[in-house]
Amino acid sequence: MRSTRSWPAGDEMTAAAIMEAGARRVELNRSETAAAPVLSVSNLSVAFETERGRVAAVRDVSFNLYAGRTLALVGESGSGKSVTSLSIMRLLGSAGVIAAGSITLATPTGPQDLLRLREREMRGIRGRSISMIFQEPMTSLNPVLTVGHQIAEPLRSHLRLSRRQARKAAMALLDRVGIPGSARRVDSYAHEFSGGMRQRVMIAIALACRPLVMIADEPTTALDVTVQAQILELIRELQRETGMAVLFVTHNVGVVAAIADRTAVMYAGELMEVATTAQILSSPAHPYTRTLLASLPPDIDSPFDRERQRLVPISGQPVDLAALPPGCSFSPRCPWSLRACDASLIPLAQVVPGRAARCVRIGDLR
Amino acid sequence: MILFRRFRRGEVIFGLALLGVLVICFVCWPALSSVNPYQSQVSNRLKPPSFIHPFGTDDFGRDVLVRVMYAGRLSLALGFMVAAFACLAGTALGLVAGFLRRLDGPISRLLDALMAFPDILLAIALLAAFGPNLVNAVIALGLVYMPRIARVVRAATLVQRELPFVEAALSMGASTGRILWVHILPNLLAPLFVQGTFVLAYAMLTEAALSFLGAGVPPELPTLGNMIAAGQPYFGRAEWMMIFPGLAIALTVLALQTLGDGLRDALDPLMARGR
Amino acid sequence: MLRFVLARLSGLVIVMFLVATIVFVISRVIPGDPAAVMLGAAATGEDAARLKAQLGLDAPLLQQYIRWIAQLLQFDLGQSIFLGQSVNAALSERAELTVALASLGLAMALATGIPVGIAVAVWRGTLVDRMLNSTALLAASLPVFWIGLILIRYPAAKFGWFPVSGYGAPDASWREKLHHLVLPAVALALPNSVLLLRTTRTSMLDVLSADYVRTARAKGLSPWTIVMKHALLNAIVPILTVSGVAAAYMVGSTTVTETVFGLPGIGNLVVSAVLRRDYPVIQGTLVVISGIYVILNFFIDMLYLAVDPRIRAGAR
Repeated sequence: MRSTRSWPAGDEMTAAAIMEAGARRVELNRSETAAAPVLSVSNLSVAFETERGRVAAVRDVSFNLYAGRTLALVGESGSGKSVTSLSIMRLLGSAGVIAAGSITLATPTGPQDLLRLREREMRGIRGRSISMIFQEPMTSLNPVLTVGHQIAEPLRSHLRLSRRQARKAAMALLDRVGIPGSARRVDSYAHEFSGGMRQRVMIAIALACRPLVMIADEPTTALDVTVQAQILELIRELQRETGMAVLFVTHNVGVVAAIADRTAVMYAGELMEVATTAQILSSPAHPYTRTLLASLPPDIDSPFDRERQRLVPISGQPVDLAALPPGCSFSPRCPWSLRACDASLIPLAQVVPGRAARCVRIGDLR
Repeated sequence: MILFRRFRRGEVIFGLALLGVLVICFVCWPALSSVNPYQSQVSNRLKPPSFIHPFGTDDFGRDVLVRVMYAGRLSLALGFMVAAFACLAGTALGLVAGFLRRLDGPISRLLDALMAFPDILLAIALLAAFGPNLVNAVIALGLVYMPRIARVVRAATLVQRELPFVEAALSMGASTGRILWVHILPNLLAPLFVQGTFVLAYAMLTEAALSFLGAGVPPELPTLGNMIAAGQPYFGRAEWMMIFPGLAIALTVLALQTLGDGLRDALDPLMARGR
Repeated sequence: MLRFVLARLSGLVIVMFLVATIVFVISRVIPGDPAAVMLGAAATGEDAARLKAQLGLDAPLLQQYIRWIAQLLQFDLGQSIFLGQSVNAALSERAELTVALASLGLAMALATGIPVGIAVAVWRGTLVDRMLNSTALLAASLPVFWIGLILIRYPAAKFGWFPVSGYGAPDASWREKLHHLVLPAVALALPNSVLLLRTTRTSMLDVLSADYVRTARAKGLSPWTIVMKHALLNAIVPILTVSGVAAAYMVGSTTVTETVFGLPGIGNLVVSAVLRRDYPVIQGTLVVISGIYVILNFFIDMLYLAVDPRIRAGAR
């Protein structure tokens, strides 16, 4: 897939040149209507073959990513959020099967359904149009290759830059993600960096080819709180500059509040609620969202309930994906559940335009 | 014990099963068969495999099948004793080296030096030094393989030594001996067992090679190696004299290696990760 | 890093010293009187005693030991009792064959074991993997000399593709010599290539499930790049170790293989020396062979430094 983006070929790869290329793209994105999504996930279903048979990890999930906007995918472990993000990249591995759905990417050459692409074509997308950063910065970088080499790899393989050009670009990227002394650091090895710095390097790698979408799978979970804030700020800045869409997978509501424009809440492989972050945090529509927010330790900065003294956990056990209840998956633990909730599957219904929840009792919760 | 939980792994089962079959053959066949493996019957010399003699007969007219069973029994027993000796000596050295820092250096160097000799050469030299009989063969081979065990035990001990429960025991006044015996040793059994299985296999192979060279146990003793050696002059005419003992060795070693591999995989999370 | 190298080097020296001592002890413990063997049954006690004095075998053990160490330091391995030449000379005559054989065997083992190991790791769980695994295990269980004998019987004797034994005439071309070495090298290589295969497979499997390989996939790199660059470079350390073990094992195995194929190499020399109680030869060859192993290990340690930057960092 040849890119129609112009790249200053033959010239020195300067930080300024990269900035300029980025600025041009932001213009492009802003000039289009914000209503056209960059990435559109429709009815995605993913299953795993286990000893206990086929287990559905993701069930009929749909959402859109928009340029310059961040969508947070929130849920506990086992909710299917990581599987969803890996499915977009088609990095599931042999155990996972994408059973249904389509994932449409709006590329410069037209929309592409990622699930219908051949593996070869998908490789052209990974690291170039969509990139991903992961949770464990300590082990996500190859220990025997220099950092500069690893940043340059996508540049050389996707954009065909020469070794010299790629090296200069790598240094510029290191600068951009806030790693000082890039001229020296470009030849350093992963073990010479701290966790936060390694995550910055990962971001540099993800950013190298100016992707349309960046998927961040819990990138700050393994980091200290102060470093966490720096990384989040960095991602926001870069998003402003490049206009990329960000899918941010996390279980940390504080992070969601800090970085996401819109939030999608997942439970047991299904989307329970989708809304703007402000709406979710101030007036959650779905019982799961409500109980989730209510279970958080009281925090001075949190925009909700400051007067609670006790911790209020969600009752019951996390759902067993191999033995799902017939109706709403959250029903066994839901304080507001009715008989109707267990009878049959609940569809994702619109609450107001731009907001949806999977609950029959939207609106009458107290 | 926790070990048994993982025993459903295919490799362990296969190895154990094959080994079981072989052991039963080697042990029971001689006991049950009425055929005399030592008695020569010159009229029957060098007959190829047939219904009465599935493995053929050798240069003295003796049934090769029965001889393979007898020899298998002896070779296996020999290997087992070598492994036992190596494990005992190796564990002792390994424990000391792993636990007592001051002795670690010299012992490790000694082990390195011993391991610098190729197995067969060291075995030849030692056996020549001690005199070629069965007991000395066990000692010689045991010494050859002892460093391997000692290394593994040492590595495991080094790891175990740092674990909190050892510190706890020390702080309660336990003596060194008690700590080694009660606390550390049980945790070494897993890697020890795995390595011991491999040593058994190596010992059988090396014994066969030694016998073949004529530098091993006395030729009258029916070991698999001796059988192959005896069959060499007749290679053009009666290959079965050599093929079947060789296969017997191979199958036994295969069973042992599979078993060892399976055990090692099964016990992996429990094993101290030494070098 | 210099300190690291020096530390390894001094370890090497100590081990060599121990090796020399062990060799001496073993050879002196071997019962039997070479003087008597040389002179034959008709020798008188006096003749034997005189010969012993001549060979320096009557001196107290400690003195003999010191003389032995002193000789070693000058690279003088002594004089063979039976061959009528110095041990050095005997070794160098036969070195070419043994070195050629061991190298050929090692090359074969590396060339088959490692690539197949990589392939099997990448195609894990498929039919190919399982089939290869079982055949490999069986091949590794066969005694080396038995393989040799089978090879002599079938490809050599029956089909006549290769010479049955020997090394060819002393003035044979290197091509002919190579021809003679192929079968013995195959016999040598077989168990070792399986060992390499399994180690490579295990090591690669470990590495292929690492996080940084997932990162490499997320960058859209080609499978070849991922396996060969990202995975293999990390997996190489255990493979190197086992290559060293294989090389060392090769040296020991040549003993048996040379006997089977009738090759006049160093291995053959040792066996006959032990049987005849030719002390200087026994000592000399054992020291040389072990020395090669120790030095080989040292070089492999140095190779680790070159390959893994973390070891380099730890060494500083």
